[in-house]
Amino acid sequence: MKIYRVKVNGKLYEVELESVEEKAESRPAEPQPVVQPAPTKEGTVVKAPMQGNIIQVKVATGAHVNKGDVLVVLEAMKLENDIVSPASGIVREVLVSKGQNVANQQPLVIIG
Amino acid sequence: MRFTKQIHFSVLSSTNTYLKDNYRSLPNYTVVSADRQTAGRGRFQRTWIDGEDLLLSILLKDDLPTVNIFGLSLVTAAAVHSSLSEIAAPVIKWPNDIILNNKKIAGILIESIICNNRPECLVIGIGVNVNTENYPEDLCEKATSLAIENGKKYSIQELQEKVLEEFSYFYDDFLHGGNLAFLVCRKYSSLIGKEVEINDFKDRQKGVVLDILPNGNILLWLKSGNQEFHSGEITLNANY
Repeated sequence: MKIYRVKVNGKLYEVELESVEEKAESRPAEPQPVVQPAPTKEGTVVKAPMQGNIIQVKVATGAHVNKGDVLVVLEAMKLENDIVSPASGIVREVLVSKGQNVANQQPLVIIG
Repeated sequence: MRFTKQIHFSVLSSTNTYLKDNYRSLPNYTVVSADRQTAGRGRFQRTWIDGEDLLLSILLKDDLPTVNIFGLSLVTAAAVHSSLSEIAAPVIKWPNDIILNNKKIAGILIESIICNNRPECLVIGIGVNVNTENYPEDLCEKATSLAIENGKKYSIQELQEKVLEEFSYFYDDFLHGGNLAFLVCRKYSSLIGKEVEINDFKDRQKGVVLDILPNGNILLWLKSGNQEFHSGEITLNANY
């Protein structure tokens, strides 16, 4: 696993890359690089890792969250996924509500 | 032996919750079981009624891409189905309920903790109705147990070992890109050919299940045409 820094449209991202060949025999599909959400002036945008339905919203605008706190619970294909905060901070904005369908990579919460 | 750390509680709020609360300090493949759960859950926080049954959760910390975790529903359903198939003839209600004689005999609740688009852990929760002999009035038409169906009691410990053995088998195949779990879920699907009502959280519509697909999705015939669903709550005759 190697970590690279990539600048896209002026924003800096850290990307972890690992060899597909090393893991190909032990995984059902190729691993995907991990893109750490880069803090922006507007805060850290937490996005949906998959298409699904929001079944719980655990935070409100203005609340303080610690890294690892559950922000929302996203149900997708019979799995309930706790989407946790990648950083400590204040919830700047909650962009989804209970019962809402969301697309893959749709912004859910902004942490500032 | 994959499941080297197994923890048993006589009473626990929820085996899934225990693993989610403690996943950082527990090794991969930790198994937690309990005689009773005080806050056992099905999907969407539904209460799991437990009696003298198998209640266990498996912790997975393998580095699985998010796109692949959906396959675990099929892996788990196939494992539970295969575990029971020597003593009963269950079918699989896509993909997280196991049905025996039109009543639910086992349920699966898979949860994950995701940070930065990657699962930090997955928790596979399994509940099998084994030796419970009575259910509340509102459930007796929907739930059953091995004891009710077969008229005898079973060793919960032996069934747990069987479930873990079968899970390991299907999970290994899954990790190596195999589709054995899908084949089992399709072969023993209770839904193919049946009219169902699907609630996709926006509205309800009736259709007919045409197939379970290799990607784990369900293919439905609807008035508007054939449509593939990856999510949603399937209801069959409003029973489950």
